[in-house]
Amino acid sequence: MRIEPEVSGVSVQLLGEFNPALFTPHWFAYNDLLPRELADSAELEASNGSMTFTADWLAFKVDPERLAAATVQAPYSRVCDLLARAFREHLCRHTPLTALGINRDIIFRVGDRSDQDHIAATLAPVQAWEAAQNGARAGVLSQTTIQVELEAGLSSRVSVQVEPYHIGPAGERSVLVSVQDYYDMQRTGADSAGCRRCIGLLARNFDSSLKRSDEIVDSVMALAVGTSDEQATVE
Amino acid sequence: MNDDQPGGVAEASAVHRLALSPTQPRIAPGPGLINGGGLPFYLSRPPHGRYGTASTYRLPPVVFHPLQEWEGRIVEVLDNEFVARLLDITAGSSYDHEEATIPFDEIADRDRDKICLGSFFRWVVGYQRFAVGTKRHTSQIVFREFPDASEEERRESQDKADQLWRSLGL
Repeated sequence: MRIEPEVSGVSVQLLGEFNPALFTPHWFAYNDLLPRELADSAELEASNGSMTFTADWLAFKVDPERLAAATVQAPYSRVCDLLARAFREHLCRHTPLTALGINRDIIFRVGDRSDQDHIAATLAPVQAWEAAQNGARAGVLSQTTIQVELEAGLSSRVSVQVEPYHIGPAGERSVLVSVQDYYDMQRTGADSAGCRRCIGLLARNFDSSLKRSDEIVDSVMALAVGTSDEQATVE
Repeated sequence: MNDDQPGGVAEASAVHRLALSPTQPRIAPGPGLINGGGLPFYLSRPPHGRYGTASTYRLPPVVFHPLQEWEGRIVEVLDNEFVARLLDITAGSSYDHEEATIPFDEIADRDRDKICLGSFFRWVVGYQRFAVGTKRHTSQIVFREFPDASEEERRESQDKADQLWRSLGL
């Protein structure tokens, strides 16, 4: 990527029906999905019907309708393998899955506000939002959804979200780009066959999804880099 | 991915065009949209048990960002090292035309028993960024853990192999 990411992560999300109490770190360890020492060191939090834990490279969150496994530490294939094994070997017959999301999230720093503004102006021209601004300066907030058929016969799409973030020392500005490949499994039936198909989709498309996502993120980075280049030329 | 690879300004204009095209169909977010916006839960460490708001944002303690990634397949195991064919994931290769000899010392102790003929692994070269502000160039090898194939899947694979065999007249 043309700008070194500040934070770079991947998450896989599943929609369906889940029992959050089941997904403890030690359930993963008991089923040989995670090493015992990793489960022992996990930080677990349960509240309002949801379960969240972090253990070494893994961040995991589950509530009755959705489940997510994520990491900020490459290789990201660990997330894919973990969910594939959990659902193929242990849960498939019991878990209706209705949707799959493969997400790439990257935060990168930009030089100053003009870089953020340049990204905003390109993705969401301010002229279209003059009435909403009411004379005030608008910030970067853009959501773009691109409808593409990722898998024949399935409702699927790529969603790209670009937002400003402030991290690090005061005055430094960052941009969060989230890219999601989304597969809706509703039409194929949320039974065990649907579950198998959903996990098959994940395994087949994981690498290509991340590669496409990285190219999209790089395209957004190019907008910020372009600003710096233009400024340098003017000076 | 690096600057020499696809994904540059040309793609940026493509994204822009898609974003602004008046012919682009409207898509209702609906209940299917998994990401509802905001910071993803795993990027925000919970200082007080809360996730996902910019005001509570803190960098994860360690981020390992890949610069180069291969998928390796062990083709020979020697006394203190193994030989693997490498598929370049970063370049999107479809053929494992590279080969490397990797000492056992490069493998984590708990993964030593996974060194065997046919094992797959990911080899990542990148940089680790720590929340305290330091950065380190490093590499890591992690073995793949694929799900076991079901009896039905084994049968299907066997049938496909038999068909292919017959189609070749063998």
